[in-house]
Amino acid sequence: MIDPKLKNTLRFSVYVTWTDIRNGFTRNRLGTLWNSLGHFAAVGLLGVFFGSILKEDIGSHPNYLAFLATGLFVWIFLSQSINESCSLFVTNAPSLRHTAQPFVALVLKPVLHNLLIFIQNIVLGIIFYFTFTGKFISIFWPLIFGIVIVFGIVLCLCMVLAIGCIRFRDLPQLVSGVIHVGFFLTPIIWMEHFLGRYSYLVDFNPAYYLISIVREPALGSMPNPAMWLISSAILAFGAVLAAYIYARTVQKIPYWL
Amino acid sequence: MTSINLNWATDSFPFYGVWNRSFKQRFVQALTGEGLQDQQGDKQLIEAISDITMQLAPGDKLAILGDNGVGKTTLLRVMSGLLKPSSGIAHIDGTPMAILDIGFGFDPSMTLSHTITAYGLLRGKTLSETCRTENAILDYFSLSPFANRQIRILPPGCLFRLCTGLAFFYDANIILFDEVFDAAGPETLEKIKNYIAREFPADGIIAVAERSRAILTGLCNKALVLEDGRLMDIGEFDAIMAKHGDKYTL
Repeated sequence: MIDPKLKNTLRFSVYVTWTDIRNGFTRNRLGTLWNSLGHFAAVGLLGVFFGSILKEDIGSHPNYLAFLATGLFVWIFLSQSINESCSLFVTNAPSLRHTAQPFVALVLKPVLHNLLIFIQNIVLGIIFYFTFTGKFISIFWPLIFGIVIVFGIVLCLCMVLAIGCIRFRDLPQLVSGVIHVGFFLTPIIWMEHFLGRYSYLVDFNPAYYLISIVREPALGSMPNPAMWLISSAILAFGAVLAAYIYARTVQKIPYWL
Repeated sequence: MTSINLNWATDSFPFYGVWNRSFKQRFVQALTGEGLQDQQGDKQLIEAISDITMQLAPGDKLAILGDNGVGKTTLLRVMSGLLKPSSGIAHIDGTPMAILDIGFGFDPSMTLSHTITAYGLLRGKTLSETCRTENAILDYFSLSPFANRQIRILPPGCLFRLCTGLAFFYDANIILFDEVFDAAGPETLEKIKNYIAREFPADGIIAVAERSRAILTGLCNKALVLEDGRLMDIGEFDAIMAKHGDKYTL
């Protein structure tokens, strides 16, 4: 496999994502804003519905909608990136066979696209919050760090899954099932303290840390240092795993198609 | 100095059956030590090319002759560095670019001019350099009317011209063509031959797998014949054509 320098691959991927977004805007006038529209509609519907059902448990939490929104945005980023990476070999079969585009660039395409939509959602969310309450409660730098760490973890995970799904043809189905169930097992619509004395169970859910390091700064509180530590550990582990699997399998990928 | 050196290069393609392709099966086997399904004969190895030994010196232009399925595409992919041989050595010195007929490897939703720019960025050029190259390619191969069309709606002839343009103008000094000249009209063929004769670096290497004498004559100085994945003959172009030309070329 011809492996161009990482810097060139990044420039290539950023450019490809930019042309992708531009194409989106020429096809229909709002482009990526349509995605955000859909996500905010989901927040509205879920918020009203589950807000009513869980009224007693939510109690005096000031910002249920904001809580739900940020959790959902992180989850959408995570699940959309994973789904698109798992079907990489279907949408990109000619490129993979030809191996002219570096593999990292193929994985970066959906991940960067979804990252942009994620950031767009967060920004729009902050704007809406300000419009309705007149307050900026988000803490800037921790929020940025949180987004960067989440991006890193999602990228590593998508690399591993993209390679795995090319090799094992029943993996996309398994992953899809895990994601569907995982949504309900992660504190997005519900909060940790709903579990009462079983609250510690969320600590075993890696998605919980991903969501928390973005959600807490967005809602105005500094996350626990332990959150940062564990998220960074997940990122480090993910990076090593992705690099190892990539190095061992990249030359075999054209043969697996 | 460009060069291509293959030493006993062999390339096998594994073909996996259902068991091998299943993550669930492999997982269960890892846990319990025995599979849920019969795994015998589930992986087949097909040797696409076997024990190829050849050297190409700077300035060589090679014609690759052979029937269908003898390993021409695999040989070209190994020569371009896209595949590493499963055994043996392939040593490639230079910047290769492979123009194969298996899809050209572009993102189908990008426009033609965006693809040219993106490739330039991948090769490490700056945006202004890619701009100049874009104009050069669109000019030379008369692709300007197609500049803003997406790759997926372009005919194979345009894609071929685009790919060759990228190879020429982004300084690839090893170019490999795999049965793609059928998409080229006489004008394009003239332009390509002219470019190779005049502007292409003198120490560059070209390899072409083609069936038409019109294309190969005047372009190649060496030829090799593949049969069943093995190198049957290699030598000067005229000598090989005299011996095998009637069998493998039109």
